[in-house]
Amino acid sequence: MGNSESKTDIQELVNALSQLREEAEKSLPEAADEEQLNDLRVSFLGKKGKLSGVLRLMGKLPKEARPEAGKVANEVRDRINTLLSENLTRLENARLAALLQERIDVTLPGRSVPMGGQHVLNQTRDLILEVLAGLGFELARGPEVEHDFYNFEALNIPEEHPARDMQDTFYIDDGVVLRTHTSPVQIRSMLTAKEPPLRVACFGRVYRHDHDVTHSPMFHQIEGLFVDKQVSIADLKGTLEIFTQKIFDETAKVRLRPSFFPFTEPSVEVDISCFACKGAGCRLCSHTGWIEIMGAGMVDPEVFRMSGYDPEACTGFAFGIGVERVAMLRHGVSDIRLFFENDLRFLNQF
Amino acid sequence: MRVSINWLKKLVNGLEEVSLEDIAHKLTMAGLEVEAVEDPASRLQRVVVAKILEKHQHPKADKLSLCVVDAGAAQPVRVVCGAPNHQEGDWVVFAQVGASLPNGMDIVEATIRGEKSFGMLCSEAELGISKNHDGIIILSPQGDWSAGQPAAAALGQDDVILELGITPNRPDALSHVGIARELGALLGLRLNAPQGNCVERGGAVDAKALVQIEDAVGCPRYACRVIEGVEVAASPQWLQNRLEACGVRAINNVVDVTNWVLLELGHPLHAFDWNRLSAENGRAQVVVRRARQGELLKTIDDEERKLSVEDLVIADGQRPIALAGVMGGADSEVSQTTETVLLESAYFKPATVRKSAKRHGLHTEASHRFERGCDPNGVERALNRAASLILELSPNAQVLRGTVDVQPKEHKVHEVSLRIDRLAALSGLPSSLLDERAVSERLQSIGIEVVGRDGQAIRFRVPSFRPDLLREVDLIEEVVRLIGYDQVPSALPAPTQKSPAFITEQNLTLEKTLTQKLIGWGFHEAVNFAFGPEALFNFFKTSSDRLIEVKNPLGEEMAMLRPSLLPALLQNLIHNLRHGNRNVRLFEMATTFHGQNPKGQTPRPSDADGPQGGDAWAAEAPKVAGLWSGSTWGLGFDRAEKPVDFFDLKGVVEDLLGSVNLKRESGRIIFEAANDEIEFLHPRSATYIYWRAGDIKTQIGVVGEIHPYVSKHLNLEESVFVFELNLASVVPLMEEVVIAKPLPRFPAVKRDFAVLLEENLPASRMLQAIWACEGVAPILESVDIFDVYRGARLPEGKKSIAFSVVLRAADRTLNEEEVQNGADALLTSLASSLGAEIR
Repeated sequence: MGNSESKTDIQELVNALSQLREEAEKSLPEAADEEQLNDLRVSFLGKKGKLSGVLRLMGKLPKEARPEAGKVANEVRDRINTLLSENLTRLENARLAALLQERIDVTLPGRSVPMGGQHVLNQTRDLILEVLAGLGFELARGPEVEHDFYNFEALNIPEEHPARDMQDTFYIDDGVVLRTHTSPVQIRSMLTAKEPPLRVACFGRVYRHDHDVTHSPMFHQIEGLFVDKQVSIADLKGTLEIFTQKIFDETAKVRLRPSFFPFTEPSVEVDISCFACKGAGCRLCSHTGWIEIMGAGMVDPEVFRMSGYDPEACTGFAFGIGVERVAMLRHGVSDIRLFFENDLRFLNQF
Repeated sequence: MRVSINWLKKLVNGLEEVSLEDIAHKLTMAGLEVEAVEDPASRLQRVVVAKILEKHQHPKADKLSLCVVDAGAAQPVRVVCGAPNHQEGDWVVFAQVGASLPNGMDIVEATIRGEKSFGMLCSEAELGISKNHDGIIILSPQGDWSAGQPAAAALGQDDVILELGITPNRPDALSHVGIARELGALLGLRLNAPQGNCVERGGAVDAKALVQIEDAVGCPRYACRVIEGVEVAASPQWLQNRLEACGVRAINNVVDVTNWVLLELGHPLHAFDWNRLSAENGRAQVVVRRARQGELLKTIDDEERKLSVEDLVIADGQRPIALAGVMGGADSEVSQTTETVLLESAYFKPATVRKSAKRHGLHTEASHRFERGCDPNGVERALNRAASLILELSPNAQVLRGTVDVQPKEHKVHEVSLRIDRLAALSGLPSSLLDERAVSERLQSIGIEVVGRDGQAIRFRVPSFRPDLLREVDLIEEVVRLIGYDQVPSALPAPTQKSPAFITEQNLTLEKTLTQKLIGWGFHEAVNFAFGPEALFNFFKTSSDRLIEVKNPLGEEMAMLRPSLLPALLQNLIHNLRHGNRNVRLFEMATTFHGQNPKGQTPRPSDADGPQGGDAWAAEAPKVAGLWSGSTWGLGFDRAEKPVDFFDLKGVVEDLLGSVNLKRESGRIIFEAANDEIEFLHPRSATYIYWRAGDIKTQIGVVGEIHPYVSKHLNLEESVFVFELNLASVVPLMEEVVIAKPLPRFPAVKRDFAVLLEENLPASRMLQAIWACEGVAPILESVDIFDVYRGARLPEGKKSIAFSVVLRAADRTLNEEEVQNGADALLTSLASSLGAEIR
């Protein structure tokens, strides 16, 4: 074994390495995907790969031949690495390009989680109560099965007074009724507060013995009560202007007409200029330009007396509005019964 | 109240000059609301007076005539007519082409059996004046007619009727004179009211009538006159027209006069046939007394009425002849044969009349006025006015001398003082409008007199026709009303101090949170009546509950107050299913009604429990209830529909209760099987929801599936899952404010386990045992069940529950040994307390 033999050995090694390179140059560009490419990487460069197999022969080379062989081996490895990297880029690009060709039918319906909704009457109630809260009114509620005393007597509606006809009543027992208005809550609030000042918004369900397109045996009222040392009709008017403008129409005008309620004196009906026609006259306002919206007045001295307040020492105003009426006007609902059928096709609209 | 404009024009000097719009507006703005305006003339446009110039037989029809009429145009007009009753020279009523008649007929050019016709000769029926179809209207030949003049005036159809809504405090405005007085004051015009004078003849009335008042409280004043030789007949047409325009049926000249005076002066009168009354010594007996129990009276509407001792009646010596202030008796009513009339004018106590009218279900023009308060001092004037009108209509009659006027009590006239500064303070009117003279003049314009001074105040005397003006504030209202609310400026009140509040923040937060959460879960809010049918409600009341009954319900379906919100939601579901709305999720927040206070308990008005009231008659429980039927999610293009089940709704309930910030430190929510204890829930899944704090359990609600019996009762085929929570039980469990917890600083370890348990052991027992295990409690953060398996691979009577626990310490990273010790402790504890086998 002489020099020549080792020469042959190195040539053989170099040949093997260049064959390996050629093989890599041929196969790597043919890799169809990154997985195949990775398999090739392992087969060429892995611990048990082809390059390692060739290099294992290097130990048998004479020492002086090793640097040269090592140089060639490094070149081949670099070359394979370069090819791997180039082809990886090629395959990634191809994959991305393919991905970007994908399309879904965006016009198919979305997968909705159907939301419910608040009842339009309670939306309306909350709107009104928010406006009143902004005007400084506190909330108050009271019983719906109510004593005659709070519902009528304390409100200056004695037995056998024709004013009782204004409110057809459901009776529960002797002296016990389904409250016909939220006004008993005013009395209860005054009794609880013991003395002025007092600003409350009483709200809740009320009941009248009546059932047709515009009357419901149960409906909702909100009443405002403002008691202080010196409150006047002018204050009532100003408060109602802000109130109705917030709820109906920023430009609404308010008109007070004399009326009668046993618990207020003076008493007024409150009209607002029609928000649909701005007062010009239309079907909504029966061509009058005005819409009757609520009753109001200055708290009757008798009511103060019944609640233990000195009518000489305080004055106050009160007003009451029907939530259904407001909702019907605001949303163009013409049949009050729709509110209580709870048909999803109706509820869904608000 | 229906008011004739023509009548008002006679009562107010100068009213002719005022437009209808002005009159209506002034009345409305003075509190006498004009609810409708009826103008019959507007329905008779293009209907005119015409003269028949020629009348010929229609060449092709025996029953038709061919007329040529002068209708005021340059050329006479041809018209075909089917009526038999007209002749050449007659003045008739002619509807021109283009007229739209009240009966709905539109007049057009027509060819009738070959003859052209340019209009129509009209009957009363065609013009909506009466039902009279017998021939066309022939106007009186004496009339001062001119061809082409509008027919409305010629037919007495030129009056305008105002429909007024008179508030119950204004009996004075229930008459034409009353309205005229208001208009006079509002327009600055003079009232021209009729005087009550009548010519007396013949004998003294005392010889013909004797009046006794037994009940002076019910009848403070009773007057009458006797009129002899009355010829009862139909009233003249103008009078009938006027009454009918005002909504009163014409009967005969005597009854019509009483109604006329009622409409004119507002004082109800009654006329009796004197000969039908029992008499003593030639004197008709009139006794005003309480009816005897069970006494009968046939009223003029031919109803036999059984009277009670609370009814005030007019009686003769033997029997009741009228229900005082409400309606007269049929036996003594004025008829064609009546010759002598006893005319009654009285004042009855409002409450007495009201009670009688209500008891007998009667509401008459008379009772309407007496209930509201007539003028006790107007009795004589009305009586005399009526007597003089009867004389006018029956000139041969004689009104006997004198008036029987029993007035046991002098009627008090009120005096009221008014302070100008109080007026200014309460009204907010500018002081420039409120000087003493101006204020006095305003009040004088409606009949209130100045008496003098009362210190700083002015003293006024209120006329007896205004029973509503008793106090200073009543006069203040009159002044503001007459000046006009448009003169009141706008201001904003300046609060002097904080107002007390009555609803706690927790209540509002709870309601808001639940509403928002339920909406997020897809529930629509419902609002339902508080009443419903007993048969359905019986399923929903607890055994200790008694349903509260409405004494006068609108029907059996609305007879009881609801003990639960669920029945109405079920009815809503049925409505929705019937209308094709599937997948129904509804909730409602409202009160339910339970129990009641002992009979006769009076309220304690000074009660300090707040407006909600400790003295409320019924227990009213605020609740929220929800209903879910159909699917959890619907069919999609890439997924199947999933029918809703118990755990869907339980999940909602858990989420609701998890989101309202309960005091977790002091207790927790637990669910327990109720089996068959809840009548309206299917025993399979009926569940109580409790708050458990230590050993104390408070029930806060229920959840489950509607019981098949209830479904059957409602003919409901779907399965329905429901819950109901009692808000009052939840509020005390809520944190006032949530205090934030710091986020954990050390990592958690999650371990999964599966254990074999007795088949019928509730999962909650296992969870309780895990939470109760002392060996793991300090580091146990959460437990989640992720699988429950039953099947052949398991021993008989066993199930497998798989769960994961999350372990964490607040102050360090757990090491492997700690985790293993915790897991061991947990499994040992489950084995010893529940016999669990580790899988």
